[in-house]
Amino acid sequence: MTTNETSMINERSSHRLKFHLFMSSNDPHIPAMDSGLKSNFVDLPRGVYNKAAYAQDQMKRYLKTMAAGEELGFDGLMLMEQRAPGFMPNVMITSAALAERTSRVQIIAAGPVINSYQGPLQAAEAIATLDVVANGRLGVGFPLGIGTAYHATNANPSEARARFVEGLAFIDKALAEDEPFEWRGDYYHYPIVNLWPTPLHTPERWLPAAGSRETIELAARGKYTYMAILNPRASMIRNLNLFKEIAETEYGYTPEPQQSAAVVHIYVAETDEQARREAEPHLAWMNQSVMRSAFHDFFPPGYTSPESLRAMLSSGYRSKSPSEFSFDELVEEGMALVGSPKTVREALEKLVNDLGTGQIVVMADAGSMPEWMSTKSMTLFAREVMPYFRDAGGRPSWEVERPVGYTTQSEFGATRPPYPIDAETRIHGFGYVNVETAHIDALRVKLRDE
Amino acid sequence: MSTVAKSTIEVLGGTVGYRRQGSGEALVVLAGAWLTNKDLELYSRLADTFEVIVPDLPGFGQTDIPEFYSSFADTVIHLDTLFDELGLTTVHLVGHGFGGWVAAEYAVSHPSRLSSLSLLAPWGLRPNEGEPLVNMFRTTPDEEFALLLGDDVQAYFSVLVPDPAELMADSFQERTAIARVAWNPRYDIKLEHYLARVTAPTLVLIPETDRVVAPSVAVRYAAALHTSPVVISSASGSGTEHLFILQQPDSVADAISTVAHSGTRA
Repeated sequence: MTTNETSMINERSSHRLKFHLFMSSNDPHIPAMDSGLKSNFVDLPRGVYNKAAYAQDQMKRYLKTMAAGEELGFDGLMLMEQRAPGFMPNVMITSAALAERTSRVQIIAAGPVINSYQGPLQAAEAIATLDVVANGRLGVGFPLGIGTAYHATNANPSEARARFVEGLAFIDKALAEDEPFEWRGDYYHYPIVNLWPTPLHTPERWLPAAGSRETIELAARGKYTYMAILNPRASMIRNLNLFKEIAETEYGYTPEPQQSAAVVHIYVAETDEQARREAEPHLAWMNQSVMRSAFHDFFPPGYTSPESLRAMLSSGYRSKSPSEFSFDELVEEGMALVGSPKTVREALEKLVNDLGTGQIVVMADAGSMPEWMSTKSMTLFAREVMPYFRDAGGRPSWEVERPVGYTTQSEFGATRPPYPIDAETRIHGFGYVNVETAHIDALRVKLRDE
Repeated sequence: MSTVAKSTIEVLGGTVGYRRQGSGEALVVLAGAWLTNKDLELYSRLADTFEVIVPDLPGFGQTDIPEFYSSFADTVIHLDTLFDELGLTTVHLVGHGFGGWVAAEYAVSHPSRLSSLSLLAPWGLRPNEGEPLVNMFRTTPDEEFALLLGDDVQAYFSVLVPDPAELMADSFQERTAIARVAWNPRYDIKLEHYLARVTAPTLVLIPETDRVVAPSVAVRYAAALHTSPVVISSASGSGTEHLFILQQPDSVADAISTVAHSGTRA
């Protein structure tokens, strides 16, 4: 970095952004697009492409590089759920592992595919537990799940959306209610819902959507953070405008910038040329080997309504497949911000000017980058780009506003609410005693007869 | 040649599309995938002696599928109400492929309403261990046509797909309708136990080669119905496939007619 370039950070952007680290840590040794396979999803055999040692390597790299995001100063670490050819089919487990490796940064599980659970109660239980494990640092994203997830989990795609909507409403209520309640839904009837443990806070709720109007509407209605999945710039602008429009016209509020997030590839190196040399093969790999799938896998039956699908097909499904995007087009479309710190700062400024989002989900490794490469890029990003979009001092949100959970015994002692009742039990032949003091002769007092 | 009347009727608040041709006792055909509202030679042949009624199944063609619809129990109630609305007291019921499965589910629920039951390459029973159960939700159209017709695809493509521009959307609609009731499991383990309830004359008709339904399925259907599978052979020596009702309409019609006439109620 030249001295001159570094000094530019003092001229901060007018945008204040939150940054969330998002990695895939895939193993790039899966068939290339000319392999003849229809899809790398669903039935790519693990015995060939995901031998145990590869799986172990992926998980170790993933947790290590994600955890490093805290020290880099990211506001959040966003984890996803991805089945074959991904290695993380249960985001709640990997999120719990990451929560234990970090202490302050937000953990965003984005997220559990509710429909793959036996019912939404199991998802709500996992969320509540994880929030407690993470000391109140949890955010949760609720993807409907990409089409391939329905083939992979065998959840019925033809009722996916209706179940999903009911599941979301259920989870909101189950996390919020302090008293047991009955749930009478179209898909689920729970005579008693009594979710323990009590979460430390209501986790921030995210709704990822590629552009489906139904999901954008749901985000606007429920005041979720709308997470605009990677798309060409015009689509991103259209989707975010639609989100704003629906919130304003149908629900009477204007979403703050923080209520939307853009997902984007970011790669920073010393020069524009070097950044391209390093990032281009990996971006190509992601778009060709991971994003490629057969129509019937991305659109299992009923995943969208037949009417929506008919409209989508007649307007030209995916006017361009991700695998056809050149590096220059990815950059031009704002799908990949690649270059020197200055170039990335400017590209990000332009992206946020266009989209109005207050949060950025940084896809940091294009899936296949080696650890050294994403670490180099993200270190440069944290030092040279992030501060430009933060208040003076460059601190992440969790340094400014502390998480809700207590962190020391003294804090617990000072702040815990009084217990509702004494802890009592019966000692046979003696009577009722206080559980906490009955082991001390002097304090073993009979509270009442048996 | 009888004329075909295409029409709609309201059933339980939803629209049902159906076609009707010929005269005689009512013979209802439940067509499976790709055969919705198609002009099949089979129907014309059957219409020589029966009133042939071919409804679009729920979610297929012009027939609505309610949001709450989720199982074959819904399909059975739907069909039973449809027969009421059409003024049919008893029916000769014929089903092909997925439609054969639907016909079997209806038959075990309402055996007294049947004059005869003809199952043509029916889906619905769990294949024996070691036999494939084709995942029809994960095939491309080309793969699916090859499964349905082998080398004979080109000869019948225009019948199956009158408008190629609608191919993907039509297929998605039909698969969605099937998934609503048969995503998981893709067979009914109870059905085989209930088939003994059917007392009307029955026919289980199969092609020489079926790349969709495993051989044991028809054998077990027939055994449960106390009959034997009847194989439709090719007249020209090229073999018959899952969509044998396109390949050999005359012999299929003859077989159905024979069984149906034996069940005709005087």
